[in-house]
Amino acid sequence: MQTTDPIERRLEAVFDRQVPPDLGRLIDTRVRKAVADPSLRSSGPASDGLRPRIAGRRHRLVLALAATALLVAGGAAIAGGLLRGGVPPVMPDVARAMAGVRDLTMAECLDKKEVTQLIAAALGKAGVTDWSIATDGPVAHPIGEGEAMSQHLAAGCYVYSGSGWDADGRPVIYLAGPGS
Amino acid sequence: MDTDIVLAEAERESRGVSSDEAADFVLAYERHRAPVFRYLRARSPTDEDAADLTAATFERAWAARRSFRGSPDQYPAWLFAIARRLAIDAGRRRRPERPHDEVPETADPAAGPADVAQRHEEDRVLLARLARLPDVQRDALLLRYAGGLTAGQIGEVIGKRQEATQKLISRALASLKEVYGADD
Repeated sequence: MQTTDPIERRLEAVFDRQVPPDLGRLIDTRVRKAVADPSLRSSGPASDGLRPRIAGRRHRLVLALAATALLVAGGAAIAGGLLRGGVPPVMPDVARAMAGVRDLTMAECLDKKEVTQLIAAALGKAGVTDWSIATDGPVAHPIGEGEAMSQHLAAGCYVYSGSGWDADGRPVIYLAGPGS
Repeated sequence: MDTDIVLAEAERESRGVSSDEAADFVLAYERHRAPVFRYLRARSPTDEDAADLTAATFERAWAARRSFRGSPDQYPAWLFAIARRLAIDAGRRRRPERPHDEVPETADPAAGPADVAQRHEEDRVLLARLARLPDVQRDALLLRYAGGLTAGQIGEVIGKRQEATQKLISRALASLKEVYGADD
């Protein structure tokens, strides 16, 4: 939401400043437990409204597990211990670093090399050095941004589209681009 | 790796939670956590209270996820409606409500002590004036500027038509501007 009205700008700024840097630490654990709590599973049809656009069964699973890993700290598993072998403890760092990259790659039209450089910088800042890039991974988007992402990709731009890890536990960063 | 993933999916689905469902929810959580927190922080006296309500919001959203029948664009309104109900209940329990007794310090490393003090004071004044608006006006502004909702989404949360909500927001901004008038 961009505005030139001074009062509106002040309102946006004051609320932004109220988000503590450790917000995730304050909340993630409780939400992780909720997702894992069998008593919080409801019956009835699952909502299609929240379903991200994901290509391919294997990629869907990778994304699900990667997204789940956002709530995982230090290799502990969520959702009833479903992540066999644990999760590389680096994933929360990757997730944090990539959150900004996703926004940037949606805000600007970057080519593959530029996005890769951006990712390298973000991961380097997070202390993550051993990782790889793949372009055949999931193509997911934040809720409500599907059309914008499709147009962005059709315009020839590359975006960060998810993360997972390889068989050796190294982060894999997925890019989507034209033709994804 | 593939075998593990498939086993994980099978195990999860056998417990009634699909990978898609968990992934959907975590993506939603990732996207809406900060806006929900900002909204609840503006209605709570401390960071801890706001974090508690934010966690409770997503706990309820997860538990009630299958009751959501709307489009993706309607999900924020559904989520903020949960947050708002929790904030109202919490406010009733701790009357008299005294939000913003503490305005968090900025984390801007480039700002000097004088800048920080000035901004802290400006934040305190703005939030205090916001707190003096009629409840419905204040809530509309919080949903708009802390929660990032559109007028249509705010209308869904507070039970008003979009046009009426837009007028409500305009009136609330005008009220704030009257207070600030000379400053700007």
